[in-house]
Amino acid sequence: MDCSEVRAQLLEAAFGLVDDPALQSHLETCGSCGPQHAALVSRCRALRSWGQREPTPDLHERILRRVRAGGRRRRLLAVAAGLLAGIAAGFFGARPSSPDRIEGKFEILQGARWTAVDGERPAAEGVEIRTQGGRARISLGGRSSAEVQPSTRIGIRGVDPSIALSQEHGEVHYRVRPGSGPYEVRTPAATIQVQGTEFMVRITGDETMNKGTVAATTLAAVVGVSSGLVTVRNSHGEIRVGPGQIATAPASAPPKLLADSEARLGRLEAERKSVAERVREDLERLQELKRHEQELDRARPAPKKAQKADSLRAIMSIGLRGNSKTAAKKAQKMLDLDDEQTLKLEEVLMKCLTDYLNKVLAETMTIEELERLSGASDDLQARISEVLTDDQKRKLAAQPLPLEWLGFSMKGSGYEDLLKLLDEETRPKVSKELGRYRTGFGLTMLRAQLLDTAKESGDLMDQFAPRTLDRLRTLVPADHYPSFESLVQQLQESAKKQLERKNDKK
Amino acid sequence: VKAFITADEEVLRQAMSEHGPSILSFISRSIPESATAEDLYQETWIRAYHSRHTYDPERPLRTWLYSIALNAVRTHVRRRRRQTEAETQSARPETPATQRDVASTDVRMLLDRLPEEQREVFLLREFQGLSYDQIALVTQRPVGTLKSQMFHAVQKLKRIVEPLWTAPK
Repeated sequence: MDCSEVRAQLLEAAFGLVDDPALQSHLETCGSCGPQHAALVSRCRALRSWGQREPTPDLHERILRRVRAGGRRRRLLAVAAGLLAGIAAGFFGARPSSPDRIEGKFEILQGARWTAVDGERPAAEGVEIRTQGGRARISLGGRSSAEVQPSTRIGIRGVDPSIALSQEHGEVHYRVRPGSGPYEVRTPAATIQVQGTEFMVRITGDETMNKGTVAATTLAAVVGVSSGLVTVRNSHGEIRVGPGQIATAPASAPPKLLADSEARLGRLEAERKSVAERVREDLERLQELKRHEQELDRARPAPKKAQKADSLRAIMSIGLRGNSKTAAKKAQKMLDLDDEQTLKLEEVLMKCLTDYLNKVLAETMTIEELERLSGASDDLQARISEVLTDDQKRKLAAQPLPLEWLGFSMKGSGYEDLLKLLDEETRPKVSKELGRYRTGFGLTMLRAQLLDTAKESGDLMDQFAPRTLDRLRTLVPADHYPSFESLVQQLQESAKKQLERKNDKK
Repeated sequence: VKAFITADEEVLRQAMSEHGPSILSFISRSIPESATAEDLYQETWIRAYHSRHTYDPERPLRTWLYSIALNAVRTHVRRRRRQTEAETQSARPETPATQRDVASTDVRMLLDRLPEEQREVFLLREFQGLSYDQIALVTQRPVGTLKSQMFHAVQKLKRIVEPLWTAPK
């Protein structure tokens, strides 16, 4: 890293945004960049002291006075509502039984952005929400609840001591506990004030409709009261709306009661219930469908896993082809095979290895079985014999093929070096053992890849490698041990790295 | 009743004593008017007191207070922006010409160049010393987004301050 590269990042480094060891090392050693960086860091530190302020005791006293004044107003209410026990548990540590909250599926305004919520959020002054297709419920201190219907926007303008909500559009069903204090719903067309009741407000006509000709509908609030009494007021006048009555409040005219409001309220209520019923049925159906989907998922083989197995098979078959070819060519020399026999043997070996591979992939073959088969398997020797003449069979009986040729490559892992260290007698034994190790290890990793878990790979490795090494130790004379152990360690490390690389690639 | 009110007050007093300086500094750094900063500071504590039952005790109190303060600042800034747009302001507020204030104005000018969200992250991280995880709790934004906003804020400031700060003496 040269000075120009470092200087381009000096300010980022001073703000702690660069975590590059090369840059840090350059700053520590360079006589030009180091001091510049130190100066910048010191300027940044100085910057941090800008704007620091200590509140005066007087300021805190003013806050406490305001809290006391508010506390006096709320005291009786708090006692009556039984909040004492909850609050006495601690100022910041306890929750009363009915916290102010919004729950459901809605969007909440954060800064200038709407953030989707499927769950619960605290309801506090200034909170603004809207629903799209979902519904939400706003509970305020156990005093009221507001069921926010789809396509509605509503904000909390006040919570304590009086509740004020502003409904911009859409429909909300309100329920206010009698005697729970002032409650107000502000809409673009009218303000609705209640003293304990159940009512709904729907804002209509706040958009331009196009039905052949363009016509703007009138903005209005429709207020239906189930129980209690509400006052609907706008700049043109006010009316009181009682149980079973519906009032409309257009923005441009005084609010008025609908003549057939009782009948319409009944219809609305019936409609609401029927919609609620339909939603419930739909939800049940949806859950049923989800259950079926899960069952189907379980029954069907995972496509991703199957695809992965296919692609691994394809990759492995290339490797197996190479191994079979090499082994067949070596057998050609040993057993004096003609070209046709060599080709046939290559096919036999390929088929044999593919069978083993498939068994491992299907997890119907254990590692021990695999080791037996990939080494001096009778099955494999028998299959090979099929392509041989009687003379060649006799040769094979006298000297079985070293089938570790079929193993997977361990190039650069210390394998060759290890063999060089050993005497003539020990070398073929170790070579054979390592052949098993290589084959078994390659397929083990393959299986672990299929299982798609790094942990599983590690477990298999831990289970497989020590057993092979223990056997190798029994084969190698004691005077070879110091070098042997170090090479074995090298082998292990190399195999682990190979495993890690494969997992990283995944 | 009196006992619990007194107890509440005591806890509030303790919380103000512990977190007051950093909250007031944050508000003061966020808005230029000193008197308004004090008003918002009061509002922050009153809001915290009134919505204390919404506080999740498993969340750090500090970040909860910061989020209330941040909301108060945002509301104020939005209101002020609307007012500024509505009125035709003839002059910028006067700034006293002491050395300290000149420096303050410089920093404020720098911060004013940043978009609102970048400024929030920069202030909380660099001036208030909050970690990204804590800022995520305050702003309800993912850590990745915050880091990106911080990076862009520094890039923007870099263009302004680097020629001055790194100029050879």
